[in-house]
Amino acid sequence: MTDYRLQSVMDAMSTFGESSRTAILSQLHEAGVKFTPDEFDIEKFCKLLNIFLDRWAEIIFGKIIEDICSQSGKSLGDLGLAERANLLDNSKLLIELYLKMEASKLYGTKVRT
Amino acid sequence: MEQKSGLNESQFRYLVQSRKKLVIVLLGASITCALLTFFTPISGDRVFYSNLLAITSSGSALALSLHVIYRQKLNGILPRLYVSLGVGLALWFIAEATWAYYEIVAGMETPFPSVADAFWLAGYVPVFYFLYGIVKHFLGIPKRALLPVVLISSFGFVLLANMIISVSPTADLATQDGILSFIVSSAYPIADMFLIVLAAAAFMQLRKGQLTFTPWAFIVIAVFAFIVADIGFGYFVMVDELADMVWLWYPLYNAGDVAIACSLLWHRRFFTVDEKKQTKEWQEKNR
Repeated sequence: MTDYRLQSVMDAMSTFGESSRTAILSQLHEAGVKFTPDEFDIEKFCKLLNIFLDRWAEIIFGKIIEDICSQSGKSLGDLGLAERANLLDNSKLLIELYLKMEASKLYGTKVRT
Repeated sequence: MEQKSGLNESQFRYLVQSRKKLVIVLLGASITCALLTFFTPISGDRVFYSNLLAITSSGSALALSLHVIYRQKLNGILPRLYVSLGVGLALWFIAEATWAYYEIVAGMETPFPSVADAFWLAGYVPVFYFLYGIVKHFLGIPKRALLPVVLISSFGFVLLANMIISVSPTADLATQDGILSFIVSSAYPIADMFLIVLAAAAFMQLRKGQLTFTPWAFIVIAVFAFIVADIGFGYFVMVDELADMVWLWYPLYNAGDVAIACSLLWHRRFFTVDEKKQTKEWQEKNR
């Protein structure tokens, strides 16, 4: 079973193209981020991606948030994060979203077409 | 062991060392180009050496760009933007080669304006598109970055206006050639200003990234080198007493090309992968 949240992370990383995605994932892996559903640490991922890419990281976080919402069929408002979205930067919002879905088990198998 | 930066020690050290190496490459290459350009009359021919240096530095940027394009392929916005940069560098390389042909083979002294200028100016379009694409698709200009960008561009435009105003009395605007020279020499710094605004906007937003600081710092350095060189070159070409000394600005063009090459070296190392090497390693592990 694929946790679609992690798949969304992978898809968003493709924004820069396949080669850049592999290169950045390799740097993150070297820094200690594990990309398996059981070991993936969203806080560590966000922190390191910010350290590596500065503003580019925010763009990726935005795409991950969009994709997670789209896959779950729920908006940030549905998840009670609409107000937080105006207050937080994308990385903090993503962490809240990720953990909220973790707590309520709102994720599941992503259907790949 | 984790560093303050959040990276592990070996990774952090590797990034710092890579950065230092590129700075040394840029400084070493720039000083070598300057020394060869300034002192070659003692042992040889300045025209030959300056053209050789121009073709080598411009060629190295083009070669690295082609390697990056080869690795990234064409899928995705970022890879396509790097193709645009590659097209710009190719046009600038053709311009250098054309200039070298005029000077070395045809024996023309400072062939300005010439066909080479058409290639140089055409090269600005894809390079501008590359920078514009990066800012548009991957950054945008947030309010906090707006002030520094406006300040930098205002400073640049004041400098530019000052240069054009100071040059125009010395320009020969009575003849068609004089007007053309004035237009072409003014076009370079104007085109540079468009590049520096976008490069500065990108750098402002990527300067804190461990992987993004270095390549964008080199791009900004390159564009600054081109601005100073183009303003100086344009001024010297317009003033008769200085026209024989335009070569003084050549090392800055070389430095700009080398800075772009350094930026691409970093991008190649940290933003692309060698698929063949990876496949080979995987096959060896799974044999």
